[in-house]
Amino acid sequence: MSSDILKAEGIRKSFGKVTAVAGVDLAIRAGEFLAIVGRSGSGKSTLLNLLAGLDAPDSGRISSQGRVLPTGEDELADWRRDHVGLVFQAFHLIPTLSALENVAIPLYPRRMTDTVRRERAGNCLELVGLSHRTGHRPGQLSGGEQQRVAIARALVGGPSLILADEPTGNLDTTTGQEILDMFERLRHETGFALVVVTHDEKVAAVADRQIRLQDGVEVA
Amino acid sequence: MPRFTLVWAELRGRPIRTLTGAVSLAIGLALFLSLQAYGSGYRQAARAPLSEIGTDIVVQREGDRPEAFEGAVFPHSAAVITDDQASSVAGTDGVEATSRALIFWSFQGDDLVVALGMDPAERIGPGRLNAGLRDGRFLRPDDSGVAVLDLSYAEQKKIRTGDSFTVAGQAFTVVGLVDTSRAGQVANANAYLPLADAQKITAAAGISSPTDVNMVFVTAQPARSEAVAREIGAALGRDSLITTPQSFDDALGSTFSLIDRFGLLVGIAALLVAAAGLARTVSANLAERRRDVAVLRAVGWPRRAVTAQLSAETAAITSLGLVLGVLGATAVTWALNRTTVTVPVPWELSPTPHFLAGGARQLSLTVPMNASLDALLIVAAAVASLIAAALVSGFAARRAAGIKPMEAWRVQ
Repeated sequence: MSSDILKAEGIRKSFGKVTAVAGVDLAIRAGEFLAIVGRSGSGKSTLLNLLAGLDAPDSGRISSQGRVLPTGEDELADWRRDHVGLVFQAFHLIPTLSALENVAIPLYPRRMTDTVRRERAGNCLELVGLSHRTGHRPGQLSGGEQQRVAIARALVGGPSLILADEPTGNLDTTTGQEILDMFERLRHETGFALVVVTHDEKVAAVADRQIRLQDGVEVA
Repeated sequence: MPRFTLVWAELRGRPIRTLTGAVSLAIGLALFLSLQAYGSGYRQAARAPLSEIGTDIVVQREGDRPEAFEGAVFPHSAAVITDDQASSVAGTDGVEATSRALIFWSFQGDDLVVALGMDPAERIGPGRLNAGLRDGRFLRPDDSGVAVLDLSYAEQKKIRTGDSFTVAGQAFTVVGLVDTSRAGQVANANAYLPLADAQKITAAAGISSPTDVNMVFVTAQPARSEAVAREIGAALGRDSLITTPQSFDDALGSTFSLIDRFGLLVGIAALLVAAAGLARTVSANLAERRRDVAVLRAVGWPRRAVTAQLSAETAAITSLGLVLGVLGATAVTWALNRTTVTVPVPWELSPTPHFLAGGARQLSLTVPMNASLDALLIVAAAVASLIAAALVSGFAARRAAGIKPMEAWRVQ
């Protein structure tokens, strides 16, 4: 069995005549912090979406712990639920739900009591320093707080991998730094691997390893 | 399994949309149920005049207009019904009981008395008037030479119990006074006599034989009432005058006719419009929530769980609409029952000659509206609404649940 949590081999993705990802090879090891760096339009977000199974590659292979990712939407959803946490630049929280309910969302398809679910979600909100905001809806939270809720949601399923797309992109510098610090602290506490897509060199500098994309191709 | 905490959070989180969907269904449902209740209230009211004398059908025969207005005369809506004809009415299939009566006008100088001969032992028809006894006693089966007078007539003529009263030259002792104002305006007269005495008077006047009557009151098996009325009408011939609750329905005029004929149609149309409103709300909701659905799929919700969740939200809005609709219909029905219905009495049952002063006045009976919601109709409307909602949401939710997160977010 491979020690790589996720491995991409020769993956390509085009949208019409535009090639977004052109044959990228990539391996993500347990517990590492990998930054995918590139300018806007370089294909880094598309690559992240392919790694998360949110988009299907036109060719190439993505495998998780030695097993090729399934192709069915529901099987991919199951895989994400059990192994991956996702964090987005736009947070993607559900506006009608409280912070606690948003964090608990990935746990609903799992068999557990409501008490356990709420307890786990509460613990994750505590990890991100938002235990005092459990009943607040996204509209009542600042950008930084919303991103922390999104991180707690990514953590709640106990993933081995968190994929984050420009997690500081909508935040001011101070708040962005706080989020990065939090990611680092949580990674060391819980041991998940972290892949962050960013165009910010300062963010990339914190990572254990970087890969750079230009026009969908990895460059040195 | 849908997550009801999330359903509740979603409904509470978008109150305007939730209420729009629920209220649009509620209005349609309330309109549908209220129209049916209104119709049933009117139908109930139309039955009141006959039900107050415990009968379903009044049988009469139309006669000629009297040549002279002297002595005992039959109203031209009350030609004789022979003993054989009355027996044939009683023997009609579906008839449960009959009661005979003889109504006539007695012209006495400038005065007119409307007299009704009746069998006080009968449990239907004018025998029911004993409930309105205000003084003295009512007629008894073995009575002869006695009369019971209508209270208002007696007051007008200053006649009291124990006084003598003359009908067609024959003296009767007044043994009681009855208030007939609540007796449905059917079988109303100034004086009520034993049937045999009335028959003797009209036979002596040469307008009937001693066993003839001119009114037969009928109760029929409820399911066969209209068929029995048709059968009796056919047996008595073209000059028969058969009064049924339908006669009062007809007399209620265009308002009721409109409700009766188009109430169901308008109600169903209202329900359909409501269902369309609900479908629109559901579709708008799902379109608005593509981004949320994408989040659910991205964090690992299988398609069936998303479908169940969205369907549960629609079911909750529908259920709220049903509850509001039934409450609305209950409120409307309550308000309707604070009103009264004036039921016109068909001319043939009017005891007063039309050519006398006040005789052409339309008789009517004012009864309280007794509208009620039909439980079966509520269940049927609820089931239809839930099925419609399930079909709409099942289809729309399945489509929505099939959203690929990236596609939804790209569009956003």
